[in-house]
Amino acid sequence: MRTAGRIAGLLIVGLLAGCATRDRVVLLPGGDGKVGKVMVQSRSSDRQVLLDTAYGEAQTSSQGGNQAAVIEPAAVQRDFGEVLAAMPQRPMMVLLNFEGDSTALDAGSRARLPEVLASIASRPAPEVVLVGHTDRAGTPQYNDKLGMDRAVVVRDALVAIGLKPRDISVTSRGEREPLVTTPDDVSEPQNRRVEVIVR
Amino acid sequence: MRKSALFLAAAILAFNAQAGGAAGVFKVVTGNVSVQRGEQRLPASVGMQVQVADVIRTGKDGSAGLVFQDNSLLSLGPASRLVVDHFSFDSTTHDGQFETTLARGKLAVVSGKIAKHQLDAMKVYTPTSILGIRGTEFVVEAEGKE
Repeated sequence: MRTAGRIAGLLIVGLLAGCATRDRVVLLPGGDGKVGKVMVQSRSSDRQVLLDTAYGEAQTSSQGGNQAAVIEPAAVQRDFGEVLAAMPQRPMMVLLNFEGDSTALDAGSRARLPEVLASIASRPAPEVVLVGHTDRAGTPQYNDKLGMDRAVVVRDALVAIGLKPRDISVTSRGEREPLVTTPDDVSEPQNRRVEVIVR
Repeated sequence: MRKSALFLAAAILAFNAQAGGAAGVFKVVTGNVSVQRGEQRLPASVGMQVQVADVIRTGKDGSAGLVFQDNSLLSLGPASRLVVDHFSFDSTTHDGQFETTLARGKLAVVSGKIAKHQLDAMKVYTPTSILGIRGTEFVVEAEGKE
């Protein structure tokens, strides 16, 4: 009888420990220095906590509690160091510029190309989006094609260093998205470019 | 006539974003990491694609990092389990929905274009809470059982 009571007691302790599951969320400062927001809604009560300060922490439990506090950056490193270390590199964006009415890179971009290609190849399983642009010299139709031809030149350079074509997408914005606004039919070196977005 | 052509173009774009198949890709895999896809349990590797309804598990020595189509970055610590409940993203309009469940373990997030474009389009569920993501970087721990 006594044993039965003890077992029942242990069971209750076990059940309580099992039931009282807790979760926590910590908001971190963003890579750009800005701090975002996370709304934490408890599933077992109508309590909500809005995290909007760096290192703000909310804890929720299956028993409905919902607390907020600010914790030390060192505590984040201690408790979340391993998971943060597994974070993939952030996507990067590079611009390559071209000669007028041409798919040839300009001198500056030609010099930078090896470094750009190497930095793309050094990423694990890189995926690349290439967007070709032109200045406003020539017709919009002509420039749609020129933008695409420029993107394809960069794609070929990436395939040549071993990237898979299925991991590279190419599009053209033609003359629609100038970096520098100009009247029609004006040649502008900064607008002749391929945006290289890598993740 | 013009309107319906526009609608068709929009529908094709939206379809393409969906038909891409993969929601995300593994970029970091350390130790024991697997993906449960239906009946199959696949070992994870760098470059492997992740789909909606996949369950990602890390062992005691494992961790993983993924990039999703909207540029969201997610990483999982050791002894963790994450379910990709829902992912859709239109790369033209940035409309989309991204929902995951951290059943157990630790998750770090840098949110991407979906969360930036629309309030509460990105959510993370834990056993005791629902997180509405309004940007951008945070970590989550779920005590949940194995």
